[in-house]
Amino acid sequence: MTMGLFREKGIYEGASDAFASEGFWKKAVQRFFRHKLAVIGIVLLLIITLMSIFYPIIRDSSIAFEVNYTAINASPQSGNIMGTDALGRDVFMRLMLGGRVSLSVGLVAAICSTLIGITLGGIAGFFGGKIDNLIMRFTDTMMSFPFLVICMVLVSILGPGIGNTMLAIVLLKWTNAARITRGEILYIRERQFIEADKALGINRFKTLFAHIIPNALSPIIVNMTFTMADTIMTEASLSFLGLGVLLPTPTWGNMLKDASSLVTLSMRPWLWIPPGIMIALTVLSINFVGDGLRDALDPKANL
Amino acid sequence: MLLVITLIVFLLANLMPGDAAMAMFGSGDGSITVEAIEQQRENMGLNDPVLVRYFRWLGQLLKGDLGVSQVTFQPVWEMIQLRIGPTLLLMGTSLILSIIIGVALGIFSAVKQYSIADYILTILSFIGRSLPIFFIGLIFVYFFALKIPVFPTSGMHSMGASGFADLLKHLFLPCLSLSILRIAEFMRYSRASMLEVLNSDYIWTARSKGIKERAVLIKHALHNALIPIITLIGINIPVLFSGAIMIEQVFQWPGLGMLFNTAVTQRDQSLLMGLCLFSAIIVLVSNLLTDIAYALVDPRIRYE
Repeated sequence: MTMGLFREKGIYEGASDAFASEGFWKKAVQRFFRHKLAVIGIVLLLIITLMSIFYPIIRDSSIAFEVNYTAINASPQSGNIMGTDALGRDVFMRLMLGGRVSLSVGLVAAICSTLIGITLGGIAGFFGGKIDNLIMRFTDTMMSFPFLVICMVLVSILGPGIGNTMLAIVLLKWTNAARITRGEILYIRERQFIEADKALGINRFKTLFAHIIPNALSPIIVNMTFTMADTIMTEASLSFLGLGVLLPTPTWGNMLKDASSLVTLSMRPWLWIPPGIMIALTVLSINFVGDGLRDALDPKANL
Repeated sequence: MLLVITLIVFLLANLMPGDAAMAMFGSGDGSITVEAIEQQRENMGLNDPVLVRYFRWLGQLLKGDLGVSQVTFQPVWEMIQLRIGPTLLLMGTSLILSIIIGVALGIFSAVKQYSIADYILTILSFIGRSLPIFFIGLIFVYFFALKIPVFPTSGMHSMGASGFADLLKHLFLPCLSLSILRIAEFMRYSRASMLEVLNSDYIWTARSKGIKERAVLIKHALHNALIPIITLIGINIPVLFSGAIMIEQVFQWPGLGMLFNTAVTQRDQSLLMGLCLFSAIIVLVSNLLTDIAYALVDPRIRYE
């Protein structure tokens, strides 16, 4: 209602280029920190990140790899914080190293796929016509496979490993970002400050990168957060199935794979419950942050 | 669209390292010569250019022939047919369960907005969406099959038994683990959708006419709040299929997901192509059905 009023008077239109300006971001930060769950999320995420970065530095990380037959399958009551696995490797250290893998796969894949999505969606939305049709048809086709199905096929083509897992996810995960970017651009393109650009004879690419994309950024950033949560989950799933990151590199997913033996599952819960909880905690806190970001950056969305 | 899908499926399957001729000799004792493999390739037409092979495969496809598995030598379509039932059973029950529970909780939570119950449910739905599906499965097996042995750990039937009760017992845990995430999702959307409807003008009108709150909710709000949920069902089917792959692996449920896992690990190209194509068709059909259902329920939407 108020928005319509503003738009009629031209106030909202005039102010909208300031969407990407300092005032907007300052307000967004304030709104974000008022969101309780988002703050909990960011604190948790920070703790997990810092621990997985620094714990292996402070303590010698070789206890996660060296086979130690004197202390196999030790329960958490022994000297090791979370006990040891079937080869006598320290579970807690493996957990922290796994955190490094999960977080970096999540972050890198989310950023890269978002960049691809912005580029393709941007081109489609800005040029329209045949190019738009072609790109969006391709996007639709990619989206018509169940995600895990096509991802498993791609990983088995590329082969296992951290880099290949990231690559496979990046090659498939850009579709949402592309759709969102295109939608935003179609909406922004009709606004007055873009017309002003045209009237001033500003280069089309400059308009796209300097004026349109910054204004479309809010939903893209929110989407990127959720993509990161998804990506961490996907990596864990792939590693759990024995396709993603393989041993000896520890990841939360392949640590959980140990539980596929009934003995481990029933007798040594300290081997598989912690990695599961870590995945859940990380994804949960990223989802909290994403929710906070959506409320902060995109007040119109009401989910 | 379907044509592009077949092309992508074919190219991806052909990019996989190793081919059918190698797979046939895969379990050999090392006495197979390079020439023998080469001869086999020639016989199977694997040395023809990619495009020729693609169109040959496409031609077979149009006749309804998905080819023969390169590992078991069974027709792919027969293998898929054998596994459709269990997967549909698992996905179907889980979908129904999650719609009923999720929508009910979501609407309850919207009606009691800002209450403690609403707050707890919202947090629970966050947690539900953050749990890895295979972890939920493992936890259930740990508690309800190993610590308190109420349910069987895996499979679809006990040895020798084949009754309906036995099937239900085997279905319970996998179905529940598959549903948790969906329940959380349906809850979140139906809560949002119900809140939007509750804040709309015609609800205020209905209330100000003096209609009982209960009648307002059931007669006026519910119907409109449920419309967007239909779209959600369509979106959820591919996700449900991805989930089924994981859950079938955890519970050794003999469905399409397990077949797909074996196909990937054994690099069975024709089986993989068949399964990918099949899953894409499931997605397309469910999208189409969603659109039709949407148009039927909501008279505001009309397609040309």
